[in-house]
Amino acid sequence: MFRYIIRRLLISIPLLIVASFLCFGLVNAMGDPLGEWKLQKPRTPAEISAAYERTGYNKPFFERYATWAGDFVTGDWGESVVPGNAGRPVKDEVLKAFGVTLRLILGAEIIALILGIAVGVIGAVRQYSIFDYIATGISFTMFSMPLFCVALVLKAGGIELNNWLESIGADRWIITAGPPGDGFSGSIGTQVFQYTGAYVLPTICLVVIQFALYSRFQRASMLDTLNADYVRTAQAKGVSQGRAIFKHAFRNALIPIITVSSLNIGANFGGAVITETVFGWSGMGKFLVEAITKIEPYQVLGFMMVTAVFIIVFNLIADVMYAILDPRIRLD
Amino acid sequence: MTEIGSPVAAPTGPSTGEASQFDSTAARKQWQVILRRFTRHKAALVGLVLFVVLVLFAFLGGWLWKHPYDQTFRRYLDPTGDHPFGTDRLGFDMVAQIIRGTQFSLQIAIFVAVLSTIIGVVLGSLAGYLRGWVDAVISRFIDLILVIPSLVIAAVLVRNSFVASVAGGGGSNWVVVALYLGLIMWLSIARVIRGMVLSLREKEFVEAARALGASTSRIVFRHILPNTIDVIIVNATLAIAQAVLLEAALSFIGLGVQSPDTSLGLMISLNKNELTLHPWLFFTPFIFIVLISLSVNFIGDGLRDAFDPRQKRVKA
Repeated sequence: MFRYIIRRLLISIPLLIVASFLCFGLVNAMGDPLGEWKLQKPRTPAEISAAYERTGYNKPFFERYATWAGDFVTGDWGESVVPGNAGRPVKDEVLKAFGVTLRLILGAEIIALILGIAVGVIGAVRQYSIFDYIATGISFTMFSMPLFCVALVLKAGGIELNNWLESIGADRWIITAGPPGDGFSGSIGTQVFQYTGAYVLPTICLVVIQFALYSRFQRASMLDTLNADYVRTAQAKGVSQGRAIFKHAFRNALIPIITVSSLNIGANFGGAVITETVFGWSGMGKFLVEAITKIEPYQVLGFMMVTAVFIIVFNLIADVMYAILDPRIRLD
Repeated sequence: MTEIGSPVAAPTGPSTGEASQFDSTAARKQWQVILRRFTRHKAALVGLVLFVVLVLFAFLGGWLWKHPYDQTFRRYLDPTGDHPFGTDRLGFDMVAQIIRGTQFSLQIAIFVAVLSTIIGVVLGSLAGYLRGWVDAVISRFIDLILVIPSLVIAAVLVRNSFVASVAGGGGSNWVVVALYLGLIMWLSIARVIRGMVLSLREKEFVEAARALGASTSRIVFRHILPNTIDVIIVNATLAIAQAVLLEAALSFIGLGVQSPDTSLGLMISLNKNELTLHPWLFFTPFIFIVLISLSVNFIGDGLRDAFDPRQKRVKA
């Protein structure tokens, strides 16, 4: 097991090298980061060459990549290049955005997982009951809605709620412009009020899609194990219904959802682009969209390196967990 | 359509006259069983009818509807008899716009489903059947695409006017968006097919075909892939729903279809600020997206149940 983990991590090093090189090439193909700056007003040749000198864009492509890679290994992730916000260290900005995304997705992921597993299991145990039909209907509808519409409707609803709260003399509750930059302050009561106001809508938004995925998945795998021979054997030898469902079927039905959710969580560290954009959280998704719009090569690379590590690690966790939970699987 | 699904029909191998007769009988029976199971799945049938209606609406609606999509009226007319969905901020009739948007969204989605299924099935079965270095190359390639942020690829394609002009043949860019979605959506089906082929290739009926001297392509296309057809069809169906939603999300962040082309997603994003004042402009395209993907998801679910041999009763 230990050797397997080490080998998988070693294999991912060349993967990161190739991926970062390709990604750098793709950003290069988007155009010149200084293009828009040059169009804003006439620039003197001296200004232009100074700007290219500063960004390193006067050097050939391969040399730029090699410089970045060399610096990255020593902990310097480069700086933003587009004039206007040039010279900001990429590392600080990526890690800051990562912190925001982490706070946003952690709670939502846990809620979605618990709700999804519970509803999926009940739906499977009481297959074709009223509960099952309603749960299936809800998750299908959630599955079929474009997330940004849900987010926009929630936001509009939040503003209405605020206006109503104001009209009855209460404080505005919902915050639709991200968490307060200077943190929460005041008495415990106010802090809770602000905290929930900032988190409630984006969390609902994230839970909606994840819940639909997890509950459908859990229902299917629970149905599989409920119909398995070993559960019928357990029932035949007189094990109580509750014990058969929870000890025999449920524990085995958890294996697939653990794999799926760890792959999903790994991918989610890349940020929830739409939720973050609509609710004004400066997380990873928003960071990437802005970096792409401005053509910031080193910001995109910094983003990719952080998310790639999480994707690789959570893929590995999924495989290892699978092997631990199901002793028939051998990792080699 | 001679050999479908069952490993029982497959081991007959290279067809002698008798064997192929046996194959086709068995196949017809199995299709009948699947069809019967599907038609008993009420939600799936409703989904199918709804989907057909939507397709007819999108592709024939333009001829039947009285207002052409490029004719302007008074701006922001409330929904009335003459304009059931009202008019938008430029004064275009919303019914005509919705017809055109649905047409582009469906066009993109079907293109994506076909493209991603073909790439996924070919690469997945190659990796699973040939194993060795072919498998290693394809699997690493999949890892690579997973790791590179997909929005970067989208931005390159959408930005790059060269790609846009080659693919669209001058100005139209829905093909670029469809190509991009097709190129990122084949990963999951490729992985699934690879896994299935890896286990199927060790089965006795494949060994028998190999012993009879069947060529690699014959083994893959006549013996192995027919056993994965259920997974392929269900995945391709669900890919349509996924593509409609992904295209809408891309439009929202500005990397999707752009004018003069249109799509339901683009229409929602353009009308996102009308949500409170002229809600019908936001909600009509929204409802049409939900209808498309809900109907497709129901069809996919019904197909999955119909194909599942363990399914004894279908109730829905």
